[in-house]
Amino acid sequence: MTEEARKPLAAVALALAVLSYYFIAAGRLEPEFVLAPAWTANLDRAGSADAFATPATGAAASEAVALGFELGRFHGQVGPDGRILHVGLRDFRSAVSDGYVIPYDFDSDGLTVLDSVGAPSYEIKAPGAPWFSSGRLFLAGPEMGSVSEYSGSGELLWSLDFGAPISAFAADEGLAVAGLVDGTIVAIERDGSVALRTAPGGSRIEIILGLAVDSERGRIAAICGIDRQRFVLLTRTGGAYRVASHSYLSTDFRRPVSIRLSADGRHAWYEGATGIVVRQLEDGSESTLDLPSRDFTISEDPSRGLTYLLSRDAASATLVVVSPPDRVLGRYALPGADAFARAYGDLVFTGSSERLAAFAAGED
Amino acid sequence: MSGKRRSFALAAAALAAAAMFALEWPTDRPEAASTFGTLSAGRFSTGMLVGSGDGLVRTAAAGDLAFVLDGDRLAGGFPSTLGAFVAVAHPQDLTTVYGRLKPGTLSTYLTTVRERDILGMALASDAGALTWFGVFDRAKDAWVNPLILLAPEKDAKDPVIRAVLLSNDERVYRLGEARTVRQGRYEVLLDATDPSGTAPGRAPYSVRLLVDGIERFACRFDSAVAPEGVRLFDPKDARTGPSFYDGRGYMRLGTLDLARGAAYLNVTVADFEGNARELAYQLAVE
Repeated sequence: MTEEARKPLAAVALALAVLSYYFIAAGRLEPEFVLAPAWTANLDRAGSADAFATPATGAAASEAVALGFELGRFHGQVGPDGRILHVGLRDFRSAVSDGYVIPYDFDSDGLTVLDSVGAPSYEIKAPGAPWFSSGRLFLAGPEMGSVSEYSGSGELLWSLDFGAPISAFAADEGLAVAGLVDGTIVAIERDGSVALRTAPGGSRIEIILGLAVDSERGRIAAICGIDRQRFVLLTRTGGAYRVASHSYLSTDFRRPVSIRLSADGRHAWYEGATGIVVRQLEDGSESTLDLPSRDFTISEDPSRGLTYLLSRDAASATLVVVSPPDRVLGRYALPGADAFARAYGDLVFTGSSERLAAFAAGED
Repeated sequence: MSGKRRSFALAAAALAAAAMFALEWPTDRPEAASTFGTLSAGRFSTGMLVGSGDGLVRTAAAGDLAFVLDGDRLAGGFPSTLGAFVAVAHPQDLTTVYGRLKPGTLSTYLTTVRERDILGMALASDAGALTWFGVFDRAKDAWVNPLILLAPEKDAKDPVIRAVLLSNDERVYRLGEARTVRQGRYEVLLDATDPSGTAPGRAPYSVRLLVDGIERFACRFDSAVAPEGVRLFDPKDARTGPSFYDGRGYMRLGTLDLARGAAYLNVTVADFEGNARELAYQLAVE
């Protein structure tokens, strides 16, 4: 066969090969993750709660459930269906939970606790600054030297003075943990008894910069020390806490550091030198998400295995949907430095720029 | 070790530290607007308020910048009742804390600081720019009265004893006005202050009560510790804890059982510079 006669055959063979590859070798495309809008509510329409009397369209209303929010000039509670239950203007500061709002100022001698429709519920006659976590109400005492916990009716449950100013604090349903400027970690049980008082040490300057707690698994994670800085994981075994793992970090932070433990007990998320570090607690391996990491929150949807990570910088925020440890499914820009995001069932409840919204997570 | 001995030991330790380590005033006004031990927000203060004429807050000594909170919340949202604050770790196990700073003005880029380096601006108030200044002894887990380590104030004013009261559920006697009291158990309450310059509401440095020549209460505001989760000026004397001040700001010096006859009370209040006021009362107990 001549050279000229071979050319058409070669072209046909190449075409067949391309077609074969297209039909046989091509993989199935992954479905794309989407957040579909469920409802929105603009808080700048506020003036009174009447402005929000009309329920938004969306999921069925649930009278019993309220989601607390704190956004720009406003604080209050909204139902999962988008109906605003209570909205108030923040004259000073406020602490917000799903059930209560506490407006406060550092100079006030007492606090009035408002319920989810804005009615006075009970009073706390003590100076300090309130903070809610996991449905618990704490009061930071004057000069950062003490913490108290109050019941849902305003009754003092316990109070504890510390030897040095508080530099980190975290709490879940079972345990509260304070980190001090002198490098001490104090863990406090629900009844106010001290479960742990320890100083991880290992650095030239001892200090606790960030704390996370998982009382169900008996874990406390800390970013601590300067020169050198460390990640330390304390685990409760046999009634006592011990250092289960630690690693030296390349960072030299001298300010509060964000750290979280995942609800499934598999990961710790903390601020790293170049992004948010996701550390697998099982083997200590790490990956880094390239995001502003100074101020972030995580909220999890265990049914889908998703983590909603909200990363904030000075002027805006980014909502990143992650399949842990580091597979990013989507990124969404949220204007405003005080934006928040929170998983609730199959919804993601967000607030940014005086606008509340909910999105349904799904695949396209 | 007895409470008194422990108290003296802490005082001696604090004074020993002072001998080894001195601090500069953190502002351009070497005068405390409120002192260590002053009633503040329902509790006694473990630091002091210092005014600033130029608004600047400076390091009291060279050291390492250990913590800078340039806002009013810690990571995770826990509120800071010191507002924006800075902690500087010094040699000799001392840490100085500078609170009530103006957010956005803090020197977040520093790692080590020299004496008199600028840390930030003091927060404005009705009384001018004021910062909170505290000194913490890391080795002893104790707050130390900053006046022990600072250059002396120019203070020639004696403390003021505004009232000494004997009080129980039935009656209150104001000593000086009442010369005859009924026998029974009374709580001794003291309303005293240490005015200095433009600052009228400062706690004195020491308080002493003698009854019939026997010391019934003595407290020096040298240091404060919280070994069992309760802060005390004297670890062995529960009277020096969170209930030391009553709701009106009177110091609670303890209870007395007065029996029929004569009783002699002697109250001495002194400031850190040694200015003292002493009042004696002779009572007829019926």
